[in-house]
Amino acid sequence: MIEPKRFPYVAKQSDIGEAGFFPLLPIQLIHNNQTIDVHGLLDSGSTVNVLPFEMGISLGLDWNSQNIPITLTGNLAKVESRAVLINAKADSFPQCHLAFAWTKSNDVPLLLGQTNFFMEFNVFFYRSQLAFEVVPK
Amino acid sequence: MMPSQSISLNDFLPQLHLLKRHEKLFLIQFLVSDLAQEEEQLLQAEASYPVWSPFDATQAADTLMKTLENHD
Repeated sequence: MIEPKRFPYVAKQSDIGEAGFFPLLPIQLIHNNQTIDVHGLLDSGSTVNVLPFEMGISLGLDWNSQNIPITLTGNLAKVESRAVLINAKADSFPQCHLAFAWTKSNDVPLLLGQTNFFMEFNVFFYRSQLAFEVVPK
Repeated sequence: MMPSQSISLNDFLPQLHLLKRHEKLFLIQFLVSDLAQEEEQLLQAEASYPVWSPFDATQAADTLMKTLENHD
């Protein structure tokens, strides 16, 4: 049985005190022979995973080769998005497939949402301790 | 707010017993006001709080799930 791994909240916005800490998970994204080390926001309010445009480019993805359109909501509703499958590895956990809405926006952080990050991992938030734990399902 | 370690409450508490009644009441009012101010500071008027979560994007979720199923 795999033990949960504990991570600290990361201070992302220093001018708003404790409200500026976010649950950002260090994660490796892998596509073909490209690997990038990034941080993903654990966003249980997001229906889907969202990949910012430049991260997709860094992974060697070609926008014009992606032919599955995705319609997002909220701030991202106006931005064109397409479905992509990426291999992901968090800490020492086994690699898994994550499906992303690859959006043409760079303003958005990497979002790890319900489909399908929260389907693959159990997440425990301890906001008062500025920590969270993650374990594969 | 982040907890402050600069004052030890254990050292401080015995001294509070020495205060006069009206000083104790003033202290209560002061602390209540201080706490209320800290709560207000959690959300600041000039700060921006972007919300990027595509909530309720059920069609998008359905498409991604089908993409995963077709791949497996």
